[in-house]
Amino acid sequence: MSDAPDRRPDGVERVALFVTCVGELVEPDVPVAAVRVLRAAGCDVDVPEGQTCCGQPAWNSGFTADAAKVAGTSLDALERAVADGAEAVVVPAGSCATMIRVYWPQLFSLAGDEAASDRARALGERVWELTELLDALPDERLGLGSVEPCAAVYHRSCHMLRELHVAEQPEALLARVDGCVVAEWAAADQCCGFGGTFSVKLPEASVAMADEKLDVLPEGTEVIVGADASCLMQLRTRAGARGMQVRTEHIAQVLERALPDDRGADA
Amino acid sequence: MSEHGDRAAFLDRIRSRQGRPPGGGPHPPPPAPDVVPELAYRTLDGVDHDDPFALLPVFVAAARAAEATVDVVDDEVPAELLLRFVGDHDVRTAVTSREPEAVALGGALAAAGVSVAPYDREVAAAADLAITSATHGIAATGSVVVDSASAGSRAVSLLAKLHLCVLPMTRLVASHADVLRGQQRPMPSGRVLITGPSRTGDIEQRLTLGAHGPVALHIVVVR
Amino acid sequence: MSNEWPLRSSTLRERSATAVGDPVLRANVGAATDRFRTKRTSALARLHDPDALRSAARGVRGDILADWAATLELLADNVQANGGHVCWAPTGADANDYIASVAQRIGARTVVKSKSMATEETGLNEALAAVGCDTVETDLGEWIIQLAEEHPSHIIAPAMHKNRDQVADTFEAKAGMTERVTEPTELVAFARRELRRRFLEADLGITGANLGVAETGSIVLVTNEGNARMVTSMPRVHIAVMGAERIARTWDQADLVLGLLAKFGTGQTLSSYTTVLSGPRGEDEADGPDEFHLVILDNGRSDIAGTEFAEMLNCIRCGSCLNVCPVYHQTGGHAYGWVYPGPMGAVLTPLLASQQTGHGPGEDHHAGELANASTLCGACMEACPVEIPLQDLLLGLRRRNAEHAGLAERSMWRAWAAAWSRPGAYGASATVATKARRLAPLLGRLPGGSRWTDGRDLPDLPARTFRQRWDAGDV
Repeated sequence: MSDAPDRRPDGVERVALFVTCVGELVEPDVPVAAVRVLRAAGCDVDVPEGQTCCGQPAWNSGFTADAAKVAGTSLDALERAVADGAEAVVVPAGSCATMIRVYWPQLFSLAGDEAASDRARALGERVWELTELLDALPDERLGLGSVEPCAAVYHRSCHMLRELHVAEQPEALLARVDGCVVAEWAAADQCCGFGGTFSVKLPEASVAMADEKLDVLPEGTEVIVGADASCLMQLRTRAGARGMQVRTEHIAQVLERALPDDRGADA
Repeated sequence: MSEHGDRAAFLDRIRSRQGRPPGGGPHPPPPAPDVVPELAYRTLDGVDHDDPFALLPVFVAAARAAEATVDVVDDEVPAELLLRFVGDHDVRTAVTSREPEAVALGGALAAAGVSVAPYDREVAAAADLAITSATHGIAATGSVVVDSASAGSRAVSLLAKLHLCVLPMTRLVASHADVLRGQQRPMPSGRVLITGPSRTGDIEQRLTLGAHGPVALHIVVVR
Repeated sequence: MSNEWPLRSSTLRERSATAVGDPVLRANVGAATDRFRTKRTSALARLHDPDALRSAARGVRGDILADWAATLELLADNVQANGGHVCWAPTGADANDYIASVAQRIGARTVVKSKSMATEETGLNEALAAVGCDTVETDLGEWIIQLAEEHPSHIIAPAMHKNRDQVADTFEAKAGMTERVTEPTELVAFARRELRRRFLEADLGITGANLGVAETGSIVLVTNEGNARMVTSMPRVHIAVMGAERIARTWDQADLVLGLLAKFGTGQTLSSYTTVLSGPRGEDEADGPDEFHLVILDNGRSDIAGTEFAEMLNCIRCGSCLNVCPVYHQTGGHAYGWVYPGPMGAVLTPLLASQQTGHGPGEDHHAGELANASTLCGACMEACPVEIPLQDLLLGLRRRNAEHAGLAERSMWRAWAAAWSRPGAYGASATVATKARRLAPLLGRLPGGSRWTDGRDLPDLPARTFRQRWDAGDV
């Protein structure tokens, strides 16, 4: 496993953001919020040109060569950013961070490109999931204030939990936000049922999995917070179809709202 | 003793393919450990594995957790304990293994009016009680080990409604490793680690004792 | 593979949709798997560093199978030295033929069986029926399933999809229960009486084997009910059917594996009975079989060795991955269509099936599609006592399936890769996507679109992509 718990980000000042395809196309507010929060933490944020997707959709469907072709494009872009001085590559999605850090070396190797596999392994050392980096920074670098009071739960997404072993960091960050009250959720670490193409290959099971989480939301929950926009989309669209009055919000957006002033938005 | 099928072809096929699992994935297999580790049970923390007096409370707690009942007696099994057991469980018929401890206890039961016979499968299947000895008691798991070679039967501890097992305290060991590891041929034809009474959870996961074997296991540890 | 299994007569989606639509089944499976998980957690809490043990067990299983043939050979030699017989069965049919021939030779009429997944795989019960044997499953759950003429839904709790009322219905309809009872204790007592009679009259006992231990020629059977002990001590002949990979070379190895099995399986410190059998009845012993036979079954297992799926051979059939799998949690075992359900089944079935149908690897679509029965959440590997990287093996199977995918699917991914590997085209597709937002309500009415929108709203698409906002300086 490529997680390196001893990585010390204290002095990180220049970061490159990997936007992710979901962030680019469906949920741009998430990478926008990530940029603003990172800036508030004193980072100079670059969004490298040329990046696209991590390749996970094709990889999870078994189409290695196609996945490698797309991932290679993003690898080139992120590598250039590192060459230009980015000290960390930040990904505001646990699943895409896992794809890059855990699966890219195998992906390129299976695609027959050992050189790219080695490059991916080296790049992986610098890849951080957003909350993993923010939590590892000294607290004083990211001042968090308050948000409008809201009753929240936190969804622990699978890849982040089991592949990146980023478990406590998101909730530790939320605990620093006044007004955001995160309740115990019995189903917090259960899979949401999205699973990429799983959601349309076995839609009945996928929906049932979302239901099992939604059924046990604590009374009065207003918002489900998570670190993977795709899980949140699954939960939100299912909750909507059921007529439930619960929102979803990416943790980057919660943190952005908690920034004490407009420090992040001065691009 | 015979062999059927083509051993050489069967094994050649395997031999041509076997090997260590290939790495290459993100979760590569570790090398095999030089020494196969034993399970380390927390209940044995700080307990001298060679001291039966230290193992005894660990054993009793584990056996009870596995739904067995346990009495600890000093020397011989006291008559009043036997009478109480016979009365509590309405024991009228019993079979015994051929082990001296079991036979002796059978004699005491006969004196208390119970119809006692040596093991026979038809008799045992209808009996209220079966008495055996144990070759080992396993402290970490609360198990008793019953051996066909010493008991003279595989099923004597199985068929009757109740199983009473006599365990001399000196036969306590710390863990199943102390029983399983180091076994060599010749082996007894049947050896069983018994941990509590027969049970099933097959209907709604509801623990129900006495599925096919004894509904109760009573262990008498003799100090 | 028996034709009665639904694997090839239906699709994975059909089976899973049926299961998800059955609220009683979901309640039964959900409650049972939850309890298994809770018990496993508390059993492991009694150990120091269970994760280190899992890792060691993974290494040990790998070590054993690196020397697979020699270990089997030692086992077979020692079984014979103990007075047992050995049958090498390359296929399920070979195993069934041998067992049927033994049954015929001894004139067996009643055969009692202890739950064995390997014999589910070979369809042994049908083969014995064909030679006139009345075969009785004696594990309570397995007996219920046999009476109900269903298939097991869990590898260690075969009837977990049924509740007490459904069990009582089955006993009334198929086992001659005249006075209906529904309390589990009373249902168990009924089964005990009925099956006790069968144990005593049986001529032949058949079991699986949780483990064969080469250095002493022993097999180990782990049960709670005691039925395997009955099966191996009452009839004149005992035949154990062992998957060829279920072996240990030494008792050190066996001790580690057995110590983990009960904790990960039923969440017990040890199961009620861990039985070590080494040959037929001993001299001067009052019971036990006159003959002991060990059938060593390949049936596609050797094909797995040496491939990227080799670690699947390490599986010790504890059922832990079923209990934690969020997909199994919704569907139960029948959705998987064959003997082995859950994550381990989703991997093992395609691997064994190609051998049995004569299809090349990946060509058997019905078995292959089981690899899709997962969100790749990784809960299975985390719960596996021998740390099989099941999610990686599932991905491997998906790669194998992709090699045999239809033109439409391959073309779609190729077009996707062509577009998204060029930043310009990616940007263009981003623009298209945002333009399409007003069309979004129509998407759900397109063929296939309903796979998302039956049960879920369509996500709203944004007015501008991230890059458009970034380039406009609005971030």
